[in-house]
Amino acid sequence: MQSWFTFELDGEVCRVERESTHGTLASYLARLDPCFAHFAEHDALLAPRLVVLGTHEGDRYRFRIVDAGLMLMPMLADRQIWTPEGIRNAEPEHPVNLAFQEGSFECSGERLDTIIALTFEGYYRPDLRRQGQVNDQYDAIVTRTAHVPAIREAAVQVFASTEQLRHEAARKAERSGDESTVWTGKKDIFGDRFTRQLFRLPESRSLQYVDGKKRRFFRPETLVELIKLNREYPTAAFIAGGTGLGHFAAGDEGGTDLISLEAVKELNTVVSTEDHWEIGGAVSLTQTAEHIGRECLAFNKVLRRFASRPVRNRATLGGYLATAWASGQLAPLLMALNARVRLISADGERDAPVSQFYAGKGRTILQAGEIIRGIVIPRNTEHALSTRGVTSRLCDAYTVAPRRTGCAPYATGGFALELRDKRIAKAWVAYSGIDDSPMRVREAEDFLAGKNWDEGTMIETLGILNRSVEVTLPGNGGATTGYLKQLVGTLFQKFYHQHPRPGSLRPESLTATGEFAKLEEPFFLTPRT
Amino acid sequence: MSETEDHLSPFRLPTAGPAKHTRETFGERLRRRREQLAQGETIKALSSWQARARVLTALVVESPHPRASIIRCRADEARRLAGVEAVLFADDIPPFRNSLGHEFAGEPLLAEDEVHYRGQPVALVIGRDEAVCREAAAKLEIEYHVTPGILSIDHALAMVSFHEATRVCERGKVTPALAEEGLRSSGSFLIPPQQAPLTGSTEVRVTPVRGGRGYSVKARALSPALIRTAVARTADIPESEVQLEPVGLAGVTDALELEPVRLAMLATRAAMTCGTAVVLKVSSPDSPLVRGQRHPVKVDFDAAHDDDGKISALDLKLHVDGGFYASDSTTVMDRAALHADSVYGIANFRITSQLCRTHRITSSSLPAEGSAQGAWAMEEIIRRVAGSIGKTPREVRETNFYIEGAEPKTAPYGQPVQAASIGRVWNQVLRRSDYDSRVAAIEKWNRRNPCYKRGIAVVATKFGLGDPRPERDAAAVLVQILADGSVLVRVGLVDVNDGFRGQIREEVATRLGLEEEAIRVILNDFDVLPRSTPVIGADACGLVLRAIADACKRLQSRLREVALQLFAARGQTEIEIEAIRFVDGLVGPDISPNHPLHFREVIEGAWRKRVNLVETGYHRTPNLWWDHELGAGWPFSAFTYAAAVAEVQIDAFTGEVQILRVDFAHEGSPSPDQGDRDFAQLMRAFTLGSGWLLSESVPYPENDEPSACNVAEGVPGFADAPFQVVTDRLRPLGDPLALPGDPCAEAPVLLAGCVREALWDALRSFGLKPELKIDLPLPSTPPSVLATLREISRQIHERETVAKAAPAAD
Repeated sequence: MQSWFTFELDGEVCRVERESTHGTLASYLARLDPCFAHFAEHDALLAPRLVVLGTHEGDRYRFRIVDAGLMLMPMLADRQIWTPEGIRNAEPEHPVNLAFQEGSFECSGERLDTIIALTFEGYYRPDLRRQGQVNDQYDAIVTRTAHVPAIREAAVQVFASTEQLRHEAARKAERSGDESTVWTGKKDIFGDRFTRQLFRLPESRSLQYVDGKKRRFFRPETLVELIKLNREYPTAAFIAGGTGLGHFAAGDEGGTDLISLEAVKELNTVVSTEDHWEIGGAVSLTQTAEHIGRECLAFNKVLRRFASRPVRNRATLGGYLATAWASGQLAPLLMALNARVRLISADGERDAPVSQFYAGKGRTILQAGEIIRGIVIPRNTEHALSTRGVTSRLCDAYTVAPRRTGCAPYATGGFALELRDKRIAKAWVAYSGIDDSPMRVREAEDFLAGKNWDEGTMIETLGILNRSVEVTLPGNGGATTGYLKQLVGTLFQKFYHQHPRPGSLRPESLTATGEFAKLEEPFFLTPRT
Repeated sequence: MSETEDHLSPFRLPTAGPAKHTRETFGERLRRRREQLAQGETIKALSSWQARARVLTALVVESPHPRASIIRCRADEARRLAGVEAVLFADDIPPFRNSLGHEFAGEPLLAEDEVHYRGQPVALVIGRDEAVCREAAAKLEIEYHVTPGILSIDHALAMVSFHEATRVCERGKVTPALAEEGLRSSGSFLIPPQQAPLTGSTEVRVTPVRGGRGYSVKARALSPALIRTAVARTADIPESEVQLEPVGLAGVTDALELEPVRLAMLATRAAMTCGTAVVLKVSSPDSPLVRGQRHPVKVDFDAAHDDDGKISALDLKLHVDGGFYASDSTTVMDRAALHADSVYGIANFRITSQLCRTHRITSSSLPAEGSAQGAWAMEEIIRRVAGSIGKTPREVRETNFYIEGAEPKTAPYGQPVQAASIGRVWNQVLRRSDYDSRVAAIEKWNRRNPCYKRGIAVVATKFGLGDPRPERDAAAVLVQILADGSVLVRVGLVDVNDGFRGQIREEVATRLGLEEEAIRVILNDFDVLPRSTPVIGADACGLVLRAIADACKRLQSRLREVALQLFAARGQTEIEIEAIRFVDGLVGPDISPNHPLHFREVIEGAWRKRVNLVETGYHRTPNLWWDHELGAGWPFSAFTYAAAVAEVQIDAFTGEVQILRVDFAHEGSPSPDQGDRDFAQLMRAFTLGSGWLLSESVPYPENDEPSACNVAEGVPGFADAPFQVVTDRLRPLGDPLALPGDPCAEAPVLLAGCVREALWDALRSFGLKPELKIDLPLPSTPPSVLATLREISRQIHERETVAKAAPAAD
């Protein structure tokens, strides 16, 4: 057991001694220096205090934007943190600093800090390539004072510069044949002070830390160690991303020991086989999207409306399921994807479909000492479909909320159909935000099986949905039960209109958005040679 | 100090009390002390460092009921709790001191026998920390006799519960004009409140300073000068003994105006009681004491018009919810009435405004408060008139505009309107947005797409800069030129970090011919400049810029004399003093590289000659007046005109609305270099308005039980912003001296009205017809839009059923 740990703060090694295991980085920074005084006033929704976390994820190095108010201090051991202040001072001529040097982007420096931190992450993101992703990168900004058009314009310039750099690096790398390392971000193409330090970052090591009040924080490296610790400290709480532990963030009062899942290798890997993905229980939502989003478009789509980028960078799929959020956006999609949850404990392993994982209001089938080892999501490659005797699989999910991002949704619907030509072989119809836990509507699914996928079937299904779905959850943000009941039908209608034909795997565009937002336009167009 | 209070105060600063005002002799002081000792009083004094270091927490105990009588208050158990220093009720405050002052219309500091709104302060618990205070607050025995409160405008109208007599502003003869034959449209609708979801700390800290002779106050407030006055009045000390600690604000929506004043007075009372620094906290972050809300307005109208939609007479009634204590609600009501004509010159126009007394708390510190409600009411009427005659709202708007050279030429209260400016922004925005072809394209698109429908609308606005209370339309600055020629500018304006600092720097640089780097601007300076200009409801920017011009003019005049002497010393004696200019750091009649005098040289000369290089600038808008009894006046320093086109899209499956594109044509600030700032201000105000209209739900009317509603969830996020924004910044017409300094700060809130109009336009594509009785509630959240779509379908279906049944019956 050690009573200290170190982490890198703005390029300097910072030694922390006897700091509370339940204290947050935001409160630590607020005490550290007057320039961070505003970190004391943290509000996860309206005033997130964003910093950049350097991470070493398997064979990749990444900068991830995180909310300092949701980062417990011992989580930082051996990690790297850049604050907006540090980013400004370390390289004043950095493109991000230059882009936001002048102009009325936001009122007050604190809010400009948020923009700088978000742009900094975006600058180094290898997957940020199209203008439609700008909203996704900046969705943590919820103020009445942001000058959104100006921020968008500056962001496009910054991200275009990084794309240009990447194109040039890729052209050079073609000769040596390691072009893919550029596009996946495995190679440092920037060579600046930030990336030089990032690429030196070691993998997460195990940690056993005790604070001044004798509370312990464990960060085991393997599943075996984790189970041992759990047996030894049965009252200790598991902590993954920490985004759901807002009550700890309040201060020192929490008394429990904590076991972090962040360094457990088995929980932090994504196994990809021909017929499924197995996402480790501690893999963040952003990482999950990076692995499966290209193939599973619906996952990316739903994730874009899930909380905000800093939360998605820390929240894990396992943590999301364990909290049994009644109106969470991901559960209906996971049900529609026919995902299964793998649980592990000292007594062994078991698994269950996501729909059976929930056990009523705020409860799951997780037992004491059990953890979510992973989530198995079947892949729907041609080979996998043909082995099931299916010609196509339509899957989509829709979220409705008071605003695009960063708020609790009214309701989400997840739908999937497996078709043999025009005939439905199997159907998945799932909702969250309607009942006290996410649910599947078996009656509608049974009705759909064996029918042709056409408008008549859709209309008949609406009657069944209307009859069989009872709204028991009081809607948030002014949504009445009548509205939620209406959504049960209209979301399914939307699914039909976006996927009217068995072959329409990509949703048909029904909106005029494309005429106004250059969603698919790349930041940087490769010059023709 | 009352006896009760002395009993409650374990600590007392040595010089507290009335003695500080009178010059007591040593003998008198000795006698007073002997008398105190003879009466058995024990005074434990704290030294100033102890008073600063010992910080107590004061918790406001608030009324849980909107209306109730207080039957009994007991705090014995709470006072016995370890760590509790004092518990104050209204009875514990000295006579005639339990008042918030005239700004709050006689509201008591702590409720006496009755409570009149939910959240009204009933008691103050002062203790070691917040946990102790909360524990003690839970032990208070306060018994209420609850009576039904008036919680809506309708209820107040039914109960004839008003604050004051009705105010009427009339042009022409409305009653006879309405009686004439012609088409009539009438109706009623409600504009709900908007809440200010604040992110920063709402606590107020009051610290005794100078041995208890004064107080230092730290509060997040838009009008620190009001806080200074309130604290001085509470502590019965001169205002000069109150220090205001600056707090960084992020925009005008980051703080409130009157709410912090109430809290500062409570905190001062707590600090006086205990003689130490006190941090005042409210019961919860959602307490009505820290959650400002706009005034809800109910509108009734009766309009006479012709087939073209030309309104010949309009009888408009504005019923404003003024809460129980109408703090500055009368001004809000006036602003609503003064903007109700918008850009429409209606010959016979009567605006009747009435302030309803309800059991609620009101506030007015959000931008364009009152004016937005007034202007939107008019747009709603225009649309209803258009609907009734089957014309497009755009046609009816154009028909009713003020017309250059034609009557009426003034607003109903007599202030001239520049009709040319209305036409200019209107035509500009139509041209720039390519309105006609877009209307055609949208119609075509809507015919093809059953699931998503688009709508477009154009709206023009006229916004009055200034405040109907002329005493608020003044600004003072202090300009100091230092020995090296650099300049220090102090401004008595709260710093909301919206880029105004840069505009001041630019103004000074232009006036004195300097580089902007040589100028430092200090905002938030309320010690040197006690007059603080309100940042909301007044053209603060214009006032400050003119005050700077005033100071610079006098400094230039002195420096010219110095320059003349320096030129004379060089032998250049034929220079006229009026010809000397200040440009690019050079001074002289002919700014050429041959014979320049550097600004620095002139300043050095001025220092040697002991010329005063410190100047106060002051500006007040002349001839402002507003007589609400006459319904006439010249209440605004200027009008600013703007127009906007908005295009929106409705998702028929969910009711979600997306703003696709907005085009603006607006008058900009005087400086051509402030385009970026104008654009930023424009977007901020527009976001505020569109959030109010589309997503920010506030429970209104309130129920007897408080309803949970996270208002912050409705504030538009990054992804909710319009996909495309096009702006045309025009140079304002008219007298340059009357040009607004910052026309984009509040006026674009009104422009957000075009989003709602576009929404109505999109509803037409879902089958909305004038004969259907459809109401689209405000804010138009997804649930309310989907409910409206459903109602449209229901009514269409009902009519079709009736129509089918009629021939069968025949």
